[in-house]
Amino acid sequence: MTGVRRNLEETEMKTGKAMKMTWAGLASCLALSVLADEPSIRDVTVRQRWPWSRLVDVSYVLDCDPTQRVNVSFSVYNGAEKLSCPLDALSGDLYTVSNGARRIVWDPTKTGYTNAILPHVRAELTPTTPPLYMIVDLTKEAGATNQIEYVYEADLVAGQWGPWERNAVTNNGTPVESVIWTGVTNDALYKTKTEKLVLRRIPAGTFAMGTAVPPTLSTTLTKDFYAGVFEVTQKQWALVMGNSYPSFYSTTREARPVERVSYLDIRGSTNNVPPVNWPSTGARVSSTNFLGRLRSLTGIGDFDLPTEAQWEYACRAGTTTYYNDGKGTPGVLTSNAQINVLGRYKWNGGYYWTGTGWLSGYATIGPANGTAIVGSYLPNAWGLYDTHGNVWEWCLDWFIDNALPGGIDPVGYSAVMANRVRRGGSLEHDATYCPSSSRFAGTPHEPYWFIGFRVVRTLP
Amino acid sequence: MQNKKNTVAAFAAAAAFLTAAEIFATPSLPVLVDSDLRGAHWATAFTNSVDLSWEWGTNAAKARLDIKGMDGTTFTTNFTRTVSNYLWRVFASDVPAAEDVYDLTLTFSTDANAVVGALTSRLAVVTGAFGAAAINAVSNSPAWTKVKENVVIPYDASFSGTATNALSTQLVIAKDHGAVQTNMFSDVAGFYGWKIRRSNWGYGTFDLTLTFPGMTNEWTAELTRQTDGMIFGVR
Repeated sequence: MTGVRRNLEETEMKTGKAMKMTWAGLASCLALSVLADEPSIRDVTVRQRWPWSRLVDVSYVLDCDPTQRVNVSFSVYNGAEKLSCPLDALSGDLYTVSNGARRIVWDPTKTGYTNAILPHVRAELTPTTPPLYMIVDLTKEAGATNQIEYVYEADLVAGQWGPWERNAVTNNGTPVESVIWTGVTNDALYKTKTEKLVLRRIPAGTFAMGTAVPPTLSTTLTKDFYAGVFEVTQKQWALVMGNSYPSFYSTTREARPVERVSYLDIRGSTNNVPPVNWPSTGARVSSTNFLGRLRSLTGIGDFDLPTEAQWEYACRAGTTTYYNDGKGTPGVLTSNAQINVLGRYKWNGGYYWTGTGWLSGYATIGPANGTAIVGSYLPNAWGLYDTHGNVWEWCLDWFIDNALPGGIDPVGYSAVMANRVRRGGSLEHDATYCPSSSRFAGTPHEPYWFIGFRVVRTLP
Repeated sequence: MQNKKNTVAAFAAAAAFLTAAEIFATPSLPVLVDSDLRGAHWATAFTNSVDLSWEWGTNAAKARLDIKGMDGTTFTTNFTRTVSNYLWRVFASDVPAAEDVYDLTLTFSTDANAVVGALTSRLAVVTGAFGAAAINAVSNSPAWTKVKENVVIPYDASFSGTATNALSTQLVIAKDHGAVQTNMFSDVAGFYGWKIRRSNWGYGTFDLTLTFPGMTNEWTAELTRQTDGMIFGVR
């Protein structure tokens, strides 16, 4: 046996059921197995691509309901010794896997073994329900126990993670099906705004983006991804970047969004070796910039900024309305009660009232003005906070005015432009700058005090 | 809820073959079918007993099954038209002693022994499907390029994302200053058994090239088969 949870196969062998093979030249097919009520894995093969490369193919068959999608957790052993296996050493069918013959590819060279040959390698695969949330402890090193935790819906609704809500948002009266963890705002208990980075799993799907209400530009994202529940905070930035506090709003700073960090500070630039320049250089980032350090810290090689399409998809969260509250467009757009509860903008604390006039850019004011502590307003239907207002959020794409790419997994324009996209409005602006479709240009090397970001992790 | 879905699916499949009065009978469980000839799973053994099945052509009266393995296995058995499947025990124990690739040929003929058709297939036994597999994780390891026993070589168009539309496979084995063997496969994923023991290949350096015709990517490897121990001259 390959050390795999192959309950179905074991049952078959015990009952004398044999493997069935037909001739490739015939129209008949290979009967694999009856469906199991619970997802199960069998027919696991571990084999190196010798002599072509050192990659190792781990082939398996997932049995589950054809409508079901599961994650597959992967562990690898040499004999009884469990081998270190950082996530960036794995690719293939790990996430949202459907039934059938599948394959995970493991790169053993990323594990730094000193022995020339691992003679008894076996894999252990376990199907799991995709979690709703992923929690990364930024105070721990990659591979440390509990550095990465997951929150599953079953545990959430059982109350193991504090308060939660189901279908809290309706889109023009129709409930948006969703379970969200509202207890995530309790930083005192969970350290979710300071020491830990919490991301919500966003399912792949098709939606409409753009300024029309409802929007009309059809866009499809084919891969699930995790999106930061909050904008990256100043404490989180400091933990990743080594006690660096670049932000303008410094009072009670730790749980406020980090700002005055440029697009290039986050990803790197063409001056890096090798150069970094989305989309021509793809997901590559500089190892010394925020995302490079975050990837190194966690062993997760696909943390990045969201594409513009990912950002709007995550912001809308199934709504097609002006804001992501699913309600009608407010009559007054500069300042209105709707956005007062959705995010920090100019007229609900973004500016500071001196007694004689409104003041912006006053660095030492308390959290009631300037940027808000993340998670101070209502979440959207997928549990993301502050997508309206607070700080603009950097996106990967180059910015072209009045032009959205749409289509399938858009990455923006390939030609080098002057500006990158920022989305969502900020404390500096009227409510008209903060709807779900709001977009603006930002010079990539400029560290603005009203632009921050949130991270995403796109699953393979 | 899940059981209900399964039942509905099976019911729909069964209904196509049944009369209206019969469709209320208990449906069978749905079965997953491996229809992916592009996957190596198709050509890999996961138990030591493989149920071979086939259909008879109208002119065929008998058939002969020939199986050859790199380990020297040769097996032949004959069937009459009353038989349409055969349970083949691939190896004696529960776990194979070594990796191997078996070529299977089913030849159909008439009562007068005129051949009217043949089916061929290839089945790989790889140790990593039954237990632990050896993995070489170190770049530039001398062990990487050495061959001693018969070897099983994987090929799969999906090794490279640019060859996923490939329709066939070519594996060329060329001995330095010696023989060249070009192997063409009508599939794009599987295993090839390179028999070097008790063959005419001899010792030396071999260049292997894996391509998928029509695709641009190419995989190459250089392997060396060395003689074991010292060679002494005898007077």
